[in-house]
Amino acid sequence: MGFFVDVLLSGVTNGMVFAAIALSLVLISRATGVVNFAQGAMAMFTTFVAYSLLVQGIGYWPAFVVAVAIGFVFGGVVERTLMRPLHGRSPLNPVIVTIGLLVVLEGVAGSIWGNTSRKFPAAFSQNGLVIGTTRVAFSPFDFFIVGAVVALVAAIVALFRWTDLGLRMRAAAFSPEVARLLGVRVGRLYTLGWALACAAGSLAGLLIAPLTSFSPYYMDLYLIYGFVAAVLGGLVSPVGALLGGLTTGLAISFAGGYIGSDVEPVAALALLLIVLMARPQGLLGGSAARRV
Amino acid sequence: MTTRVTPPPVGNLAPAPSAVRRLARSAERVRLPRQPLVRNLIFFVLGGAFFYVITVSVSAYNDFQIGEIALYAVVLAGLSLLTGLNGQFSLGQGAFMIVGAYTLALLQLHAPMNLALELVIATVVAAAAGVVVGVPAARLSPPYLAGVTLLLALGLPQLADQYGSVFGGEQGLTTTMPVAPGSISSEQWLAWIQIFCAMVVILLLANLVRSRFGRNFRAVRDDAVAASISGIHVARTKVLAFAISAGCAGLGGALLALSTGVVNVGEFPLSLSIALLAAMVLGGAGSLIGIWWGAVALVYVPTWSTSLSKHLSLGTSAAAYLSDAIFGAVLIVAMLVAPTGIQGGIRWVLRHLWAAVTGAPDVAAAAAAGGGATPGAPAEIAPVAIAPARQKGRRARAPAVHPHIWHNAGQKGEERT
Amino acid sequence: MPVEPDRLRSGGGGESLAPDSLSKPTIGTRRLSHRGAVAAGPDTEAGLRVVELTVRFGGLLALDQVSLEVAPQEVVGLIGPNGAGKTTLFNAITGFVRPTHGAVTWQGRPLLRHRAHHLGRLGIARTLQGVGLWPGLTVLENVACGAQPLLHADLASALTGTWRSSREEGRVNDEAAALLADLGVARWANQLPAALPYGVQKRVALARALISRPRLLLLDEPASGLSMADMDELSVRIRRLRADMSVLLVEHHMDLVMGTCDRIVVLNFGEVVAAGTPAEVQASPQVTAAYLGEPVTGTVDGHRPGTADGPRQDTTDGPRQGRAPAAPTAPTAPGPPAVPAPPVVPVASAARPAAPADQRRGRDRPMLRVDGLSVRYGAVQALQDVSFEAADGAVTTVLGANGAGKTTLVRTLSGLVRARDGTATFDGEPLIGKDAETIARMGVAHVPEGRGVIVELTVEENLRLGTLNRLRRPERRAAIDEMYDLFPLLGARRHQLAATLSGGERQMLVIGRAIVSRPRLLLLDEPSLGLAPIATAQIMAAISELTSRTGIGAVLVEQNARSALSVAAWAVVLNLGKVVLADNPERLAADPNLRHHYLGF
Repeated sequence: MGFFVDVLLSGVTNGMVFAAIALSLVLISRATGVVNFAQGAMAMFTTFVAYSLLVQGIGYWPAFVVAVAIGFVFGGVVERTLMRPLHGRSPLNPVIVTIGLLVVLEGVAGSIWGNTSRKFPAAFSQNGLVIGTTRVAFSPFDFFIVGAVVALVAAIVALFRWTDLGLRMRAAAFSPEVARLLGVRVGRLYTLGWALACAAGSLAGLLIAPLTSFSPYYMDLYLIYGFVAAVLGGLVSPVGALLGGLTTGLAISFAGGYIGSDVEPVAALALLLIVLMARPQGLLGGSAARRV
Repeated sequence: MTTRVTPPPVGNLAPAPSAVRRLARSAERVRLPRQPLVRNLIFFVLGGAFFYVITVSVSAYNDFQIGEIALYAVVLAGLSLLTGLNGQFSLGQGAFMIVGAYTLALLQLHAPMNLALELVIATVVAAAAGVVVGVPAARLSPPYLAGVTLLLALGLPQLADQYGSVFGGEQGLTTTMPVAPGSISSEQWLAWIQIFCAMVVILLLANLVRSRFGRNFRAVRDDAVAASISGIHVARTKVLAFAISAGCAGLGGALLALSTGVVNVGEFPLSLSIALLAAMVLGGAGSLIGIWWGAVALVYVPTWSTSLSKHLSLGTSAAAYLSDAIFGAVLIVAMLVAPTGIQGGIRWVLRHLWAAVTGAPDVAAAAAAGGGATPGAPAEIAPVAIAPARQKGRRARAPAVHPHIWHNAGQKGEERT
Repeated sequence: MPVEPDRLRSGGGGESLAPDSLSKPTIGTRRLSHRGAVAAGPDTEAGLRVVELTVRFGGLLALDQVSLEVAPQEVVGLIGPNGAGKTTLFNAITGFVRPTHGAVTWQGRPLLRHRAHHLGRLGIARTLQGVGLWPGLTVLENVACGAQPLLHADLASALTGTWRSSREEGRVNDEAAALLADLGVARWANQLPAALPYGVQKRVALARALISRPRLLLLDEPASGLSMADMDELSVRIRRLRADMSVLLVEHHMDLVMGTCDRIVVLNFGEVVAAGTPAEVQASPQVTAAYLGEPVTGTVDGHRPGTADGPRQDTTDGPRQGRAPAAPTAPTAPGPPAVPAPPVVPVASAARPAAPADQRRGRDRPMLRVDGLSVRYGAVQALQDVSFEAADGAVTTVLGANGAGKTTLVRTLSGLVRARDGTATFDGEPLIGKDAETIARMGVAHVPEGRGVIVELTVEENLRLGTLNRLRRPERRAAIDEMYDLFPLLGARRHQLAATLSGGERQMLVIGRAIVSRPRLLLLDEPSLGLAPIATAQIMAAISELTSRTGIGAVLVEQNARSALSVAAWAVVLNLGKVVLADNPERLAADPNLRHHYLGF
């Protein structure tokens, strides 16, 4: 029973982390139709910058804020310079460019910071809480993760639902042409969308770093799990990302706990394929109408 | 081989100097044999002779590298067919290479047989894996397919770690070098085997490209709806392309296993799959000649980056990172600037030369539009204006779509009372 | 149909077709036996039969018990206004849309269970709207690919390039070349289609459909984008094809339809409203009504709209300013049954808040001036040298058959499409060359074809989006509330998703969204599309009232000519991208040329 609870709780924690990445993927994908495969690498890069700052003695929270801010700027810059020229052509090109970016960022990070695995410090204790006499697999840091991600999702939802800017962004994402006819500067909003998404990604990177061995490749698997989570949620809504993340997290946790940690990616793959076979548009995605 | 477009007879345009024109006209008349098989066999023999000459005249280490180039050409041929010709985007070739490599190693370990047979079995097993992945993959749009194959490239190798008893765990399995007959050095013999495999694969694929299957691949890539109206079974076509590319990757993986002598997960990281993609794009997606450029890059970029990193006095591990970064940069730059790759650039130059010589500029323009085989080939008109209306919503940006296409296309279907 | 399997095996390839006859198959053997035989049983119908086909998209009834037949060697034309369901019918027959009820049989066999790629084997071929050629394949390859249902070379022979595959390929290529020669486009055989003239591309697409020896050919708008000469040639060609197959074609160009078809079926709102020979259809009043629309007041054909209701109009030339709206009343003539009381219709009222000063100009200078506008989509000349003027405070309507270029015109004016030539100025400022967002901020509100409701947002959010453009924050709430006064129906649904609204309500919403931004010019693209006559009447009245009350100008693109003419002060008619008529609405309504441009007779 204890093992089951531990697996469950770690599934929730993982799920939250996947949801954060899924959220960044969803933000970009819904607005521009591009899946940003470089999201993980971008988050890794900003987290490494934070690491450098920490090593130099700057406090945790300032470094945290700086990393997220750099992520914001980075996202905007990438959209403006790399993605904008590819607008309107084949939808395959931006995807290829993001993959190239993934590799370039990992290569550059590896060249700068080297290959050795490090330990990224966590803001809170990573020891499981003690309930009664048993130690549960849920630590203060896990609380922080859950809280941060929920707050992030809530903030995004609030932005979209209650602000004029959010309304414009949604219009630009749903019907870019109609939005243009209403005077919405769609291009600028795409840039903003990317900036927000990468800021969210940076946040995710900072949350993940203490959980695993911190090397330039640490975000690869998490990106993929985030992708699975996003696809499960239908690539449409922040709430979908959250639900998709939880589902993926639990599935992986159970597979890893009861079979072995090496089958986790395959479990994710199986989950993804099963869902896509049954509903090619994802669990929460809209109806897949085929048009001629 | 490339499907070269023979220009139609010259019309009534500005004449080039007459002597040159006469020469060009006679060159037009000298046609290669119409039968594609004969034509391809000629290239096969010529290519084989070329490689033979090279391998006997260089050192053993260079032979080894040439063999590596050949085996990467095998993998790239399949990938070029899949992505360039059929428009399916796979980041998972590394996974199929592993399947082929482990199959070979397991056969050599448990049931050693004729090397040729082992290679065939490795190819077939990898192709079967390709069918298994290809069936669900055929229904996916490009970004989803990219994600699924990325997951495959990351996840499948880990299975080998999970079932370490079968697959040799982290050490992996070893392979045995084939024994060379007579006094030929073993590196040369291995290189010949690899080159032979490459030539055979390219021959077969060149024939396929010229056949109705090759045409169907391209039709499905450009417009799947029009393809199914014309009687093409879209899903089957896509699965076939996937299986063929997986088989090629498996064969390449098996040959790589022979080269390195060892098969383990570390030999096939994610960056390999991405480097394969970059090499294909660099060479020119869809071109069976262009893959050689890509294969050369795959073998020599790591070497160059090692010396480059020494030159820049970065750490020893930086070389690998630098090599990866270069491939990534190639991808980005190619997509932004030259999506048709090296071979596309060469073709462009040749076409304009031909046009200048024979005075038929409209041919050059017509041939340039559409490009032929790359995912990102710049087209004058957004590829087949039907396409935006068929996908939901998102593509509505392109302003040059003829409004006719929107009529009755179901876009407004929900809005009628 | 003579089947000669021997020719295929023994190197008889390369035999060209006799130009006028496509009846001798030279490729593919095994499957021909059951294609050549027409009858599978004693009482089998040998043609296409559609029986009470019903297609429902969610709550929308796209096809309502449509029945039609196409006999062997017959050409049947399917016509109807935009949105009538013609392409949906094609899609249902060819397996892209699953019908809710009904049946389709072909040569006695039920068709609906077949997927699209099976149809070739059954002898059915289809062309697509537009062109649909594969841009990465040459013309010859495009056509050869169409022979897929007849090709049987297996994978092994294709890989090894052995005789079975290569010989079949040789034959296909020869036959494709011959077909292209027959259609007069052989000289482009080795070129990629993208840069070819549009008429050539259409013929290649036809060749691709023909190479598989169909017995039933479905042509989807084969004449769209063609010149008059090409259209004549197409008509002749279709008549010749009759000898070997049945043809069902969807078309908008009436000249072509009337001259080519043996029978015609007319759809409107998903139902068959008339069927018969061209002469019968031409004489049918329902057809005229379906295309030209009902007069807004429900008066009998020929009566001037507005004479029974509002003040008499001047008949002098030139665009007029200000016109009293023609408010819809209950029909005065016997005929249509009494309709239930329509929802509240906006009526001019003195209690309205005064419009901002910049909207009342009261001058004679036209607000919108278009001069020599030309637009090209690739190979198609969509607009050619279009010039007209639109005044303030009045509705200028742009009419024309489907494909005439009306939508292109407004999309060019609002900045979504780039013009090749010509100018357009709005209140003196040039429009060409600016992007759509900038033009929108200038006060040009474009309500696009298909309405452009953002269905994922609520009614309130759609309206709020409209206010963000040109209003300052304090003014926005008031503007939205004003819109709810104008359209109480919207007010009742303000927090519902726009997806739940009916067509008429959506039209109200987008007009409201356009108005709420305090525009200076309204561009409306087919607001009556898919609406029942009552809703159309309300919308037209609202537009008319709006322009006269606020003094802004409106360009109204409409296919429903009569309702548009009843509210317009000036009318321009387009055909094939050119302005063919421009006149006072009263004169135009009585002008037989108008009917001709729409209906071809």
